[in-house]
Amino acid sequence: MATSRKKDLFLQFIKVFITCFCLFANSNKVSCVGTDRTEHKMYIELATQSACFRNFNATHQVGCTSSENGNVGTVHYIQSIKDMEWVLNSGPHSPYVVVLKAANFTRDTVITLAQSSRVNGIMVINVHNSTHNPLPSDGFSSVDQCPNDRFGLYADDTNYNKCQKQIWNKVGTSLRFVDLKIPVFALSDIKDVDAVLNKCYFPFNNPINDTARDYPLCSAEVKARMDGAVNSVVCMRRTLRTTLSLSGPQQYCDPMGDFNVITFMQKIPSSSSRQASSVIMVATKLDSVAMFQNEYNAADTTVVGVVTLLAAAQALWKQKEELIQPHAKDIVFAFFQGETFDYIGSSRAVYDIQKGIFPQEYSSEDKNSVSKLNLTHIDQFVELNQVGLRDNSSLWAHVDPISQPNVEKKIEDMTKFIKTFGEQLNISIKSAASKLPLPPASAQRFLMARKDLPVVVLTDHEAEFTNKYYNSRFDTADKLGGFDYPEDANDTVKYNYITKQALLIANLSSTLARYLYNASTGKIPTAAVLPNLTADPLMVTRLLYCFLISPNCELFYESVDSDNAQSLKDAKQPFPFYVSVTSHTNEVTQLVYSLMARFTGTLIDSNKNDCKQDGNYKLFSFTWMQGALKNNSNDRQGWCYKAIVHYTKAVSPAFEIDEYDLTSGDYSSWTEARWGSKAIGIRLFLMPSPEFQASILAVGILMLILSLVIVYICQKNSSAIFSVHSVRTSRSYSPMT
Amino acid sequence: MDLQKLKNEDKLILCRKYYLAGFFLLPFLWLVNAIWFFKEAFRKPHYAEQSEIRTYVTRSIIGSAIWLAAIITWVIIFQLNRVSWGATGDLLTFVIPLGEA
Repeated sequence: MATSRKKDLFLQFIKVFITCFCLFANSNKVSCVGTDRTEHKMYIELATQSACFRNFNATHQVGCTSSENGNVGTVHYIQSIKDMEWVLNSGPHSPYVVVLKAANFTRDTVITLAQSSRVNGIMVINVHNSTHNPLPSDGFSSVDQCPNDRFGLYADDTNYNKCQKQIWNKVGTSLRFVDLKIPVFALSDIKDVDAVLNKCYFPFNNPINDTARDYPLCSAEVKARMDGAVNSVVCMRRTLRTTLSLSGPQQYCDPMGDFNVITFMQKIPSSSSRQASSVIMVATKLDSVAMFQNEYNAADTTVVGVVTLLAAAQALWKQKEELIQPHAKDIVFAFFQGETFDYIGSSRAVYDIQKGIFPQEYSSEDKNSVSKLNLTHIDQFVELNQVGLRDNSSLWAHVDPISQPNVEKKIEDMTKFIKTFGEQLNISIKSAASKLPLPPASAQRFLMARKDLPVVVLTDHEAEFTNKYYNSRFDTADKLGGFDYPEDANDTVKYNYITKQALLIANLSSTLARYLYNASTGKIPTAAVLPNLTADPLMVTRLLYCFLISPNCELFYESVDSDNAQSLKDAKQPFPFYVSVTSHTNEVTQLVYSLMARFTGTLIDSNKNDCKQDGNYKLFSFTWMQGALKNNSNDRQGWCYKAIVHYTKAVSPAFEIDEYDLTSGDYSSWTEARWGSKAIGIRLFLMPSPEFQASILAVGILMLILSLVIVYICQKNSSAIFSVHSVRTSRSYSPMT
Repeated sequence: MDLQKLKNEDKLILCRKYYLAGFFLLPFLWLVNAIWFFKEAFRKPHYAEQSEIRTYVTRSIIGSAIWLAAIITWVIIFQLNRVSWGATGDLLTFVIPLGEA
């Protein structure tokens, strides 16, 4: 019969088809074993993780996010105003992902782009050279023009609030505190920039004679997906809610914060109490911020102040014997964390002081903790802000105009002596105009709690900031200047080379040390003690190198526990000065703690396991660090330092007080959104035309239908195709037989 | 259970049980009852217990329809207002979406 012959032929064909398919599938599998995964053939993954991410305060979300699977757009490089017009209006292939030069990354441009529905993401080139990608010449600061104003001393003062006397940070863009709603990345790796421009934009997208190119076009998938939303109130409520979930509660955001590092000169146990006006407090801030994750340079913003204080401590403690005498005033070195985010560290310290648990929490039986400090104990408060970029090589002493009349004499003395000791070391220190309020400073939180506290804040500006890159990724050693390393100097040479900047800072440290000696003992330092009260420029240069250029340096290796040595080795750039969230202790905080232990403590003979506090004896801290290399060996000596250095919490009281209303504005309410492990990244790929995409889909659907038909036919005739005898008899398919 | 193998009086008992149990805030039982006994109630040739089964099935249909309407209304109201209800909205939510209000 003709029909059955036809049917047989058809079945034969199907048999061949199936065999071929199996072979193909097999051969495909073989090639799958190789490293060339299809994904890698389709995408170029960029290395950058420098994403703008999301933070919250009590009322707002700020920063960036992408859609769940990343924002996709055609890559367009903005080189001129014409390109802006192209992206915003005329270009036919929207949405776009825009590539910007650093100089074009201004508040107006970024906000215009972010608000346009035709823009899906922004990448800013963060590899700098003077011709191709110069820094923004007018300056750039990611924070407000009047930083921390609403949480400072003058928040409600009609004469001084909102920087009406002086806008400190004129180049402030507040871009860090805008809800941009699209992902924004920095490209800091030259390979990334090369991939985006030379493998993607110029070959495929760059319009020729103002006409758009044809498909395929190079596109980017930009992903920075944040888990939290709305504001701190909402996301903390959601994070803290009790849920019945096997995988644990879902986290949406974490409070920002870390630890303050507090060091005391005198050993005053809790069994004896302090006298009024018996403590001199010296402070600086430990953190900074910028737009992008990992890109937190803070040369002038933070590092110079920290290094000055560290070196001053080292010098001062050499003269310890005189300073621990009962008639001398105690000296406290305070490094406050999280100050950039509405004074987290200092407001917490003040809160703890007022509760009587500063620097340690202890019960009444505890006789051997550090004697508690309260506000009346503080004799004076000296703070270092930015001190690197000196205005006409001068530093400026700022005082608070409101409290000044109450403590005029004291403040006069303070500034007089600071100036005198500065002059001896060729540092000119001038008094800022008396109409000016204090610039943003931790001291403001102390003044809010005690109106008659004598405060002097030393900075490198009288009026507006001399630093044009305050709290931005451009605040680097280069911009600070004075890093006059010899040409082709290698890392070791740089590490040991005393730069001009180091000398300037060492002089300031010496000034501070001498001033503190004088303030504590009431004595003018004699020629015999002056060498002790002189900061070591070599140490200053090393500190600057380690904090600003590379943490992979001997000083840091000596000062960390062996468990942390690897992170120094892995570090490709300076440690971030961003305060981050409470669950993670900042590397900078740990290093400052260890360095203070080294500079102010005594080396005791101990091994690693015994290097810890003895029960209730909490006055001293014991810090183990791996120490210097042994002679002719790769082993390290291991040091245990006994010092009066303590961590105190730098978490906003807002997250500690029960039933606290975050919107009250008393304390910092900043939190940071969580994100998943693969939530951040950029990849480039070629986007075919919509017609091509539609035809691929159509072919796919046809294949599906065809395969269903084939399977149906195969099943109908399974007995004919697969010659299994037992099945052949039944003639019909049933899974049960 | 295969209804075919059941005697007519047992069918009625079963149908009634489902119908009554539905009153304990179990609308799905009504839905199941309505679908399961639909043929028995409306398609099968007449038998003695059929009229009573038909009553139960009809009422089950009406009951589950009311429930369905109520649930749809609630879901719409909830989805539209979850964000503006704030804390209450969160309390009523089992899975809060990530990255959104």
